[in-house]
Parts: sequence; structure tokens; C-alpha cells
Amino acid sequence: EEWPVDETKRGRDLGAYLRQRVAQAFREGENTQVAEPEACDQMYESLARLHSNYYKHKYPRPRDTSFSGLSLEEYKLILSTDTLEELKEIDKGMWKKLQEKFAPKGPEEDHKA
Amino acid sequence: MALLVRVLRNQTSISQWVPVCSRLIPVSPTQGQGDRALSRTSQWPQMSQSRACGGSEQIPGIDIQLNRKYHTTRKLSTTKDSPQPVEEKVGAFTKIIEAMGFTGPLKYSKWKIKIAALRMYTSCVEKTDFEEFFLRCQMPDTFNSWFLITLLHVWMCLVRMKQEGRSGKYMCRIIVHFMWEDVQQRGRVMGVNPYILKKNMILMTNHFYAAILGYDEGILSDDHGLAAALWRTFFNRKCEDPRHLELLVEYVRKQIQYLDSMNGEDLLLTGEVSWRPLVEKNPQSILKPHSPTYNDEGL
Repeated sequence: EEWPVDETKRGRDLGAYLRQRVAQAFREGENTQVAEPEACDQMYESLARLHSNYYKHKYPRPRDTSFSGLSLEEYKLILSTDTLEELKEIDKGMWKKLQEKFAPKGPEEDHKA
Repeated sequence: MALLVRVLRNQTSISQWVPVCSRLIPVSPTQGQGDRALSRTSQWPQMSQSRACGGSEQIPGIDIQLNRKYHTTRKLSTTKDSPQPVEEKVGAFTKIIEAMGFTGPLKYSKWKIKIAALRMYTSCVEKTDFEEFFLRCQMPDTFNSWFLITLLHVWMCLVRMKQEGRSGKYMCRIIVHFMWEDVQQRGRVMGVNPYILKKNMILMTNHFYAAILGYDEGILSDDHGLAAALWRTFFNRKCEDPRHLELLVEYVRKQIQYLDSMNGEDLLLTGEVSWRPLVEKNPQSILKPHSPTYNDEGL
């Protein structure tokens, strides 16, 4: 499966789960007897459509907005497993440290742009 | 004053709603053990709560804190994204008021927005076909399932109203406030022990924040990201059939687009929201597809 693994969400990633499921379902490799071939094909087609971004293209939005208003990179940072583990240990000053994480990104962003 | 009476009357009607689910499965064992993301975000609301007012003002306080933090961050993102629509110009006094977490003067009456917010939240819980979700997504008929479905729809409303400037932000806070009032009331109606209800409310609050961020990342990502977010949050990582996941991804994509197509002023003043069916024959996009502007350098 070509589904990419999101390394920032170790332990909670759908991609990793899918690989595990496929490996388990086809334990015997090419010789595996598929119990329900039709359902298997439908599942494969579902995954293929999701992988090819079918619905993102089908339902385009005039403006890509969200509720909390962060950028995509910031979401990945906040929601990554490592960050969540660090947050778990922080009792006070949590938001300050989060903002400190964002601050060094400034020059990096400027460099990219 | 008459508007205030109407608001109070509407709020009273909340208590008359009948809970959708037939029984309550304790949220604690499922969330505490299964969902790692939930436990790892547990510090955020607690931090907010410690700063908020005590007693009955707790929930609005959380919203104020949340709004302040995100407002600060939003400034940064606004600076980066040049295509952002120009925000309305506000005076220095209003900026100071908003920095302190209060809401300055809006272009519409706050009471009108509150009524519209209540109506919008009502759309999330009354116009949604929960039975269809339980059936199609293989979800158990529980209070938690009701909460997850309601949460998804509330999030979609929040995304839409956030596009309406400061009035939209204010409306978002009111919608969230009504949601928690409703959750608490439904818990009481089901006869849940007050102590257990309070503990579960904290867990649900944590789940709420985690879900909002996850869905936000998902809607900005491609279908990979949205599918992963729904799988983690909505299905609690227990979805084994990719067809269910695909169904939800399409539902969210078409619903968000449908909401985007609604007139912003109408939404601010009436709060009337309708939902496209979960299962729809040959669902069509409202807009013609154009070249995607999504930058997938991160992948």
C-alpha cells in the first residue's frame, strides 16, 4: 500500500494501522484465500479513492479555513505524539513553551520564503 | 429586554429535549485507556480552567481563554497568508477589550447572534439523523456516540462561522457554550450521578479540544489527513472497514462545501443550517472543481 505513514503521530497513525491490517489479512502472501472477494475489492477501491484525494477535488472550497486558524505545519507540530508526550509532563507554563517552539520557526519560515 | 426573555425561554426549552441514546456507557474506561491522544492533551483545558472564573462561569471562562490563545496565534497566520480576506478595521479601544478576552461592539446585536447560535446548535442535534450514523458507521447507540456525532457537526458550524469575522467568532463561543449546557442537561436527564457526570464532563472537554484540532488539521490536509483524523477521533481507532471511513470523508467534504456556499449574513442572523444526507445517490459538488492550491510539501 502506498499510503504514507505520518511519523509525527507514532502509535496513532492510520497508515501504520492499514499496513498492519493488510499484512494480517494476507498472512499467506499470494496464496491467501480471500473470504469475501467482493467486499475486499470494495475496501480496496475505498482506500484508492481516499489515497488519490478524490473527495478533496470533488468538493473544492472557496477558502481553506479551519476553526482554530493555525497553519497546517502548526497542526502537525501540536498533534504530534512527541509534542503530546511533552505536554503531558508540563503542568504550568504550557502555552509559553508552545509559543517558544513556534518562535524559532520565524527565521526558518523567512528562509523558505 | 424582550429579546432577553426570548433567549431565556429558548434556553429553558433545552431541558425538554429527550436524549437520543438509550443507555450510558461510562466514557472513562474507553477514553482513559484506549485513546492515547486524549490523555496527552489533558493538560490544556485544566490550564484554561485554572485561570477561569469559578462556579457557573467556568465554561464561558474556558471559551474566553481559548479564544484569547487562538486569537494570538491567528495574528501570525494572518500575516503569513496574503490571500486572507481583509478583516474589518477596529479601533484601538476595541482591540484592547478583545485582548482582555471580552467582545467589543459588533455589527449585529449580541442577542440576535445568541439566538442564531442557539438555532444553529439546535440544527446540529435536531436535524441530524443519528440513527443513520449509528447504522452506517457501526457505532453503538450510546451517549458517547451521540456526543461524537454532535461534536462533528458543531465543528463544521464553527469552521463556517469563523469566516464571518469578529461576529462569527462571538457566535462560535456561544455555540460551544450551548453545547456544553446541553450535554450537561442530557446527562442529568439520564439520571447520571452528579459526581460521575462532572468527571465525564472533564473527559469530554479534553476530547472536544483534541477533536477540534484534529479535524482542523484534517480539513486543511488532503483526504489522507482527514481520513486519519476521523479514524482517530470519530471512530476512536476502531473502524475496520475502509468503506465507513470513505463515507465519512465524503460526508465531511461535501458538508463543509455546502456550508461554505451559504450566505454569511443569513447564517449570522438566523443560524438556520441544513445538512446534506449521509448517504446520497450520486452526490454532486456545488462548485466546479478547479486546480487545487494545497501545498503538499509536508508529505
